Amino acid sequence: MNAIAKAIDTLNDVFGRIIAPLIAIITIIVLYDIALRFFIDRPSDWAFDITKMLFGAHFMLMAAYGLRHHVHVEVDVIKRLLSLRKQAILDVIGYLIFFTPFMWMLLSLGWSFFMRSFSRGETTYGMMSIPVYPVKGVIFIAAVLILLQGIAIFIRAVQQLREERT
Amino acid sequence: MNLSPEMLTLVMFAGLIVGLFMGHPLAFVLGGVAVIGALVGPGLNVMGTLINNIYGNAMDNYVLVAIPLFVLMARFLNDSGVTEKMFDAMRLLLANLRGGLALTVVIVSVLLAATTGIVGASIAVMGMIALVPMLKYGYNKELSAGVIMASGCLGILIPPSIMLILMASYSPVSVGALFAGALVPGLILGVMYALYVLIICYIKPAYGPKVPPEERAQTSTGELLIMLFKYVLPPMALILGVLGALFTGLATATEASAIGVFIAFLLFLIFGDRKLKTCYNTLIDASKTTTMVMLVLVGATAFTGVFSRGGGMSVISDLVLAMPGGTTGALILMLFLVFILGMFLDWTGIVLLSFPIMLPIVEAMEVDMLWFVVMVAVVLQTSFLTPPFGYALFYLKGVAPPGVEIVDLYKAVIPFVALIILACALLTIFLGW
Amino acid sequence: AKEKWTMTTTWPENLALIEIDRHWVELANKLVGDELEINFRAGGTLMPGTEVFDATETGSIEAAGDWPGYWAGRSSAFSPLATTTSLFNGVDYLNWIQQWGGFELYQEVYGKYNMVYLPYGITNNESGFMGRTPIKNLADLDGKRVRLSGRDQGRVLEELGGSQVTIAGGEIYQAIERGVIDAGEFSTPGVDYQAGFAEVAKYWATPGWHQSASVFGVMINKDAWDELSKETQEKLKIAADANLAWSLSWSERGSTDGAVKFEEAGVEISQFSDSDLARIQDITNEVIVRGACEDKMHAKVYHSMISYMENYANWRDISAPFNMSRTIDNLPSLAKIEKCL
Ligand code: NA
Ligand code: NA
Repeated sequence: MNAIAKAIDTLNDVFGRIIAPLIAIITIIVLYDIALRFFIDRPSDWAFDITKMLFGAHFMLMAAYGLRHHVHVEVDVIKRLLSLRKQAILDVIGYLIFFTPFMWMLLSLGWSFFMRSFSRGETTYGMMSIPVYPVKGVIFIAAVLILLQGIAIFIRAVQQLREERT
Repeated sequence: MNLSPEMLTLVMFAGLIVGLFMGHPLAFVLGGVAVIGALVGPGLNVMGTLINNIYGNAMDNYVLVAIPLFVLMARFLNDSGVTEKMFDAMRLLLANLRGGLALTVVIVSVLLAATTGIVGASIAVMGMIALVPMLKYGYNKELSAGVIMASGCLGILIPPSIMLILMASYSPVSVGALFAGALVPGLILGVMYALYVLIICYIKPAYGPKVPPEERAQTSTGELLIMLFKYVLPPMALILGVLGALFTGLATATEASAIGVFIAFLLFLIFGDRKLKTCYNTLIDASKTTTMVMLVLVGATAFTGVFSRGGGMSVISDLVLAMPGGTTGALILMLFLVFILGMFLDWTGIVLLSFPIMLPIVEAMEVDMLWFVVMVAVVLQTSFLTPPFGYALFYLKGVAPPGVEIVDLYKAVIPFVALIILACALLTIFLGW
Repeated sequence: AKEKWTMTTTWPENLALIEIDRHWVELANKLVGDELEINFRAGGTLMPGTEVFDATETGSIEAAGDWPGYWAGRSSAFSPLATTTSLFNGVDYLNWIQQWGGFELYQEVYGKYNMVYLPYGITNNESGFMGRTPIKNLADLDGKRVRLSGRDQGRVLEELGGSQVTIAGGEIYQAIERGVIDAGEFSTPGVDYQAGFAEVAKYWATPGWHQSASVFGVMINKDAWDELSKETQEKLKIAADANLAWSLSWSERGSTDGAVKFEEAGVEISQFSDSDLARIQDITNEVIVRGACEDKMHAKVYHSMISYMENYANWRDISAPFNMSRTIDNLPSLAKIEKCL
């Protein structure tokens, strides 16, 4: 079991490190658009839409990496006072009650949301037709990665419970 | 199941509190409660709108691009080492003034507020650059955190502000009038925070210690001038650069944040270690902070969507309409409801849910609409600060060094929330209806 | 009531266009009696306005008011169902929808997404360009940055030497104020005035050739529609027809009041000359053919619209000056569009 948790950690680490630099690309695109407008009075046809799409993809795809590194906001006022065993119990309950339904929703509805866009070849409707379905598909991919990381956390919590018992 | 709106409101808020204090990540608590709320309330077919809300409100939203950009700007500034030295220099400059650093935070925040209209951005920025230096110099933990959060929230009151733009679009008040109307209380609050800092540090010297004379004596006036020139000027140039881009029409508010990143990157090249590895780690750190801020928004937008669809809005409107006490009573109750809602919902949800109910009442009572909307904007400041669900608290916790706990932050906001309420009272007395 | 519908719209509470949706809901609720109750919620309260199409298609909500142009990324045919660049005016849309086969085309396009569509709102000409830089003729437009929506619109603007700037809706006001853009368009004068443009704009160039008239309507999830009796369906259509006529005069009234207010606010109004408009027409005709030929359904809609224009001209032109529409014979080439069908 531990090997599975470790493999998930590694996967999300690698993936997060690949996605993170998108934030720099977003910056460069916005600056490029400003520069075009300022210097040659010809703003770019694609910068606005691409910036928005990369932004949406970036933070969603970083979410699993964030979960792996405990960056997501949680209020541990009470949890910190408890024993490791009780903390593990809270984790197990929390991941079952809140996390699982949310991920189920993101996965099932996220997939059909993507398919509705993909099957029609949905694009932006500006001067350029930029496909919209990749960024819509991001919800599903992000959900898979977050779910995997949740499974890793869940495995460790269960292991914690077992160790305490023996 | 098909719970009544009243029961659904109760179940959803109770679910939030339970999940939050269990220590589960907030984003998943919000999202999970949204799904459960949809199942027990309006029904399964409502679930589709969760995806629509997440995609439309959080992902497909150009204005929010300012969040990653401001976060990245703050990270590069930190890496340049300039901000830490700026606080060193300011501390020496204000050596004989208790609470000098906290005062610096208020001033920088007000300037920063004029460059961005997104709270998540300004809190994360100030949390990253100011909290560590204040703690390093022995400032009281709660005062330091409180002043950062409260001043950071001024970003939505001092134009430009995405919140004011949305509020204007949902009310008969024009953007221009609202910008002008909110600027005054924004600046008044800034002054009140500054006065509070000076007074509390005067009463309790340990909150914001002076620089010991021996330490101050180690730096000559000439050296201090050089420090100021070297380390205070560059961050000021950055803020002026962003402001300049905005006011000369070079860029929109969102785009101006990219200019901020550019200038911060230049400062990193001049003052920082110029290493590619530092740069890459900065991108990782900025990405972590961005996903932290945005995922809370993802959960919140899912939650608000279901809450609204389930009829939570009508529960609130019934409460208002049932209120005795005439005009004054109704106004106080409406502002109080905004305050209470602020403990649970984010400002977007509050504006969208409450304006359609409240504004017709305000109009019927012949109360000045601009005054009311400005008052709501001021009260909404507290929605970021009040426990249990204050996004300013969460955002600061997300970037704070170890040792700063959420309970510290809960305590830290109390005096500042009191100041906001005092400001509301003053605004009512001097500019009231 | 037997059926309960949740309906929303693309428009937020304080955009005047929401009145078109609201007026139809009131009419419909009055007409249908016990079989149906429509619970109408302002745009943005249930989901962002951009997502109402998807939510109606899936049945998450039963109905949503819209402006078809927002969905042109799914199929470019939605674009002429919503507006035209320098072609139809409000009466043309009314004629075409009710007597020249337009209604059926709405059903064909929306039907692919499991929806029934009732066009229930028409507004005539939009304001035009407003900003802080004077644009009094086509020469002035050269090199200017204009906030303008739509693909055909953008292409015409590029041909005229201006460039299309995309800006988030909430940022238009400030973009005009600070001069990020030289001018921008949003809606009709009544709506634009309410959006505060008189506070920031100094100049206003009419007519709004970029959007000569607009259509609004309600998307209804097909499954929800089929649950209704024939009689109730008929009543919803009657309400839509009544709303069409109401909306035309309502919006013209609003545009008149808005224009007066802009004038009182000191905004300087100029009109493009006849020769400028003729040049715009020439370019538009090319752009329409080009756009129509990129998609079969798009071509089919334009083919129907231009056929109507040619047919109507037989009576329209001899009844001038008491005719209801513009006498114009310089149209996009029907023959070229036919080849793209
Ligand atoms: Na601001
Ligand atoms: Na709160």
